[in-house]
Amino acid sequence: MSAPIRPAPATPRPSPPSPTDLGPVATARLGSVGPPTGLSAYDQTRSTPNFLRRSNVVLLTLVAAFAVISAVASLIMQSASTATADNTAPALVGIQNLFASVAEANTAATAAFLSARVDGGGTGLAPETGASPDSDPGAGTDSDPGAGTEDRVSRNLYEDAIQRAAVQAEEVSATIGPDTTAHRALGQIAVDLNRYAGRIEAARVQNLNDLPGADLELRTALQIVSDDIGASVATVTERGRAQLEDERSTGRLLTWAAVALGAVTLVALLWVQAGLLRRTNRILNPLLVVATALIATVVGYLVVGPTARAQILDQASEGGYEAIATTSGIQTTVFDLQSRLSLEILDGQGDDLSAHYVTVDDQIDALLAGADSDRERAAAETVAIRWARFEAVARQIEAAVDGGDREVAVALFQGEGASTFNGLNTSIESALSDNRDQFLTGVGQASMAVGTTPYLTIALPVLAALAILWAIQRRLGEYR
Amino acid sequence: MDTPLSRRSFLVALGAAGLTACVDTRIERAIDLGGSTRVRVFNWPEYIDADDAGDPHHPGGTLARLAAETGVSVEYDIGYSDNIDGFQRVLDEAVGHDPRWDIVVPTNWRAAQMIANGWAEPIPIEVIPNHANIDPAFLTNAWDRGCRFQVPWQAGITGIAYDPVVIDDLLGRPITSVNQLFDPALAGRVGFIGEMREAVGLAMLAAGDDPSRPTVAAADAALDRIVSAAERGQVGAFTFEDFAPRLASGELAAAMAWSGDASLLRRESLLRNDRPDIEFVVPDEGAIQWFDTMVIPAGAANVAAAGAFIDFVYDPANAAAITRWVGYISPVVGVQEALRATGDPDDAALANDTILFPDAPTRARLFTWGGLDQADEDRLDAEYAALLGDG
Repeated sequence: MSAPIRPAPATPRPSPPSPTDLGPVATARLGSVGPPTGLSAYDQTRSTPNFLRRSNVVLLTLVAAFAVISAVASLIMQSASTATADNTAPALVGIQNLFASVAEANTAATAAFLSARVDGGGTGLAPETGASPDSDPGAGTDSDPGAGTEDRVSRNLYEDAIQRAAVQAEEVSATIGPDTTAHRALGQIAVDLNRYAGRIEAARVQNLNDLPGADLELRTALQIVSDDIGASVATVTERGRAQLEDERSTGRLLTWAAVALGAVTLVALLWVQAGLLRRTNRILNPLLVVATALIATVVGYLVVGPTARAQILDQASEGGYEAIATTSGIQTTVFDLQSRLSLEILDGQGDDLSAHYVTVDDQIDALLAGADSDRERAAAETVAIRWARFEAVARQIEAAVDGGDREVAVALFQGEGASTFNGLNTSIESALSDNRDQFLTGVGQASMAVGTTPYLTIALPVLAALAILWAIQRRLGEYR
Repeated sequence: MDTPLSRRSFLVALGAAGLTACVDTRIERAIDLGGSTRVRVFNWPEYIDADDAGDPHHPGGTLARLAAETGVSVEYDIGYSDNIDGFQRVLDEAVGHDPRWDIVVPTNWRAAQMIANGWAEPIPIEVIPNHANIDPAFLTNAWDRGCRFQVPWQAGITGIAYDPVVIDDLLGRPITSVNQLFDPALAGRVGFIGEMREAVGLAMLAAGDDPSRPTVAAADAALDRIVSAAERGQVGAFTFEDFAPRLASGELAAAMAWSGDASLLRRESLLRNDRPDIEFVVPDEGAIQWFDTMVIPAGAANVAAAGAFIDFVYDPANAAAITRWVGYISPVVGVQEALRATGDPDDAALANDTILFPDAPTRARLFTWGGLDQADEDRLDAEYAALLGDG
């Protein structure tokens, strides 16, 4: 470090220093000489060494407070970002996937139920060939009197989907974080999935044995999904979104407090620098300049990092999560439409489903409008095409029910209806996956934007404190 | 498209292309390939339309039209011989930093392995508007829901092909069951398919087990039954597509067979003799359904051009041209309608073929191998391969 620049000796360096210029320490050292008479205590406290000591204390206190508050703020923010990336975002996506699985399970179970009701004709494995009980749930065993009469593919799809839903419920539960309401809802989903599966099995057995009450069991199962599981999914989604909002704002206030304290620290540093200039006529103290730069860097980082994080999160929410919400809205409406079609067939009575068609049209318009990448747009267009196919079959089913042709309605439901529904459902899932990827990537980037902040907010103020300490001690040393 | 597109205007646009909402299978959209104009495909032999000399690049053929319409030229390699040696070439030459091909076409279970190991690129759906034409039956596989990493090429059935005259002499009745292949009256004149999952799957069906939900015990029992049949001389040969000449020569009377080859043979013999030399049946217990599927190996150089290739063959009219030639089940929605729409009586006959377009009762008897743990599959593969060596 170079020595302070000394201009023309307007104020010659005191040699020997007068007691006025020396603080209490210097005064004590010169005690044998004795304090000069006529110097007031006030004058003594205004001496340069005293000024330096006071500055030292004030600056170090400010820097320490700044370091602590900014570190705490950035740690809180980083922890919130990590929670969003690792917990909230995956949970929000997971709950939509869970609902997709339940929707698929329900459609497949209903298709299998209706196939067994109408055709009764050998679509499973032949009972007389001695199928093993664990080989195919629809295969013939003594305990399964209706074996061979239901659509095996639909039944397999149901089993896969319900199993997947149970696993997804556990995954969401493991990631959602410590929200008791969400966990209660997820616990309820687990219970309802069991209730639902029980009803489906009861409906299946009664149906295969042509017992009364099968329709009622299926109807109850449908209701469990649309009312109970649907409500719990809505609760978890709501809690997840609230959590996301919390995490977005977490640490913001404390960060601004740290920024304010950083500003005060910078002012104090400038004030000390100015004081030194006034007292010693030295233009700059390089170590104090370094300390100022370090504190300014931290303040800048505290402003830029969280702002970038907020912007990226906003973008991720708008581009990713809003699309997820729109897509899952389509899924919910389509699923409700499918359930109502099932009930129409069971009741043999038409219902007015036109509102559903309009709603899905509008939701798909929103999805297409919100698509902001080629891939998202392609996924949305696929959803639109597959919806058009499903809608056409759904309207045919309605027409068949209205015309009293139940057999045609059932054939359409379990054939083209189930096929086009699966096509639509998987295209929605694909769109969800793309949105999820976009959302999770955004959340990950937001997390990275504040990833190094805690380290910087600790390391740089410590360096600044050392620089201050060194700078002032050096100056004080000149008076010893 | 830079401006937002509403669903209605989107469907109107489809309608303008001569489509309606319910048959919107031909999808037009300008796509940007980013200068990618070459694609290298590694496929099975005789799996795309070719001329009499076997040239798939013949004028007017699918590959020539692809080049003319999209500007994408295809380097087409027919070296994928089977899922053992052929797949080994995929492992050696397409899995790694510089894949030799942009599209490889393994069978579904091999594709599942590629995807699970991270050896597949995501399908670039942004350049494949016809992705919406994938038959939904292929979208619900647990290992790749929605076909995000593979797109089916052709599907087939492994059932039973037989010479009706010879079988009538030997059995006195047509073949309707897998169990008839184990009948001592056919000793030494039965062909078993060389693919473990298909042979074991059919034997499982014969025992009343479900190969779409296989258990180790059921698969072992089925394999034991095949081994014991081979040991007592019941099996005349383990075959792939070579079942056809062996049936034609009378060496075999019946064989586990692939539907496409059987279907083509049947049509050829109908043209020649006015009666089929062979019959192909989906046995009462069921048959094995499989599909070969397009996978873009991770790190492939021409992903966008690969997307253009996939999009082209998923146009129903183009897919129909392939179906007409290969005789396998098309995974493309709208092919049956496209064949009917040509007005050609041969195409109409194809459109009504229940092996090419299985009806609901036939579909209900088709089972796709469900898969076991990798270690069990490897063990069964090894045991079956040893049997093939002996056979």
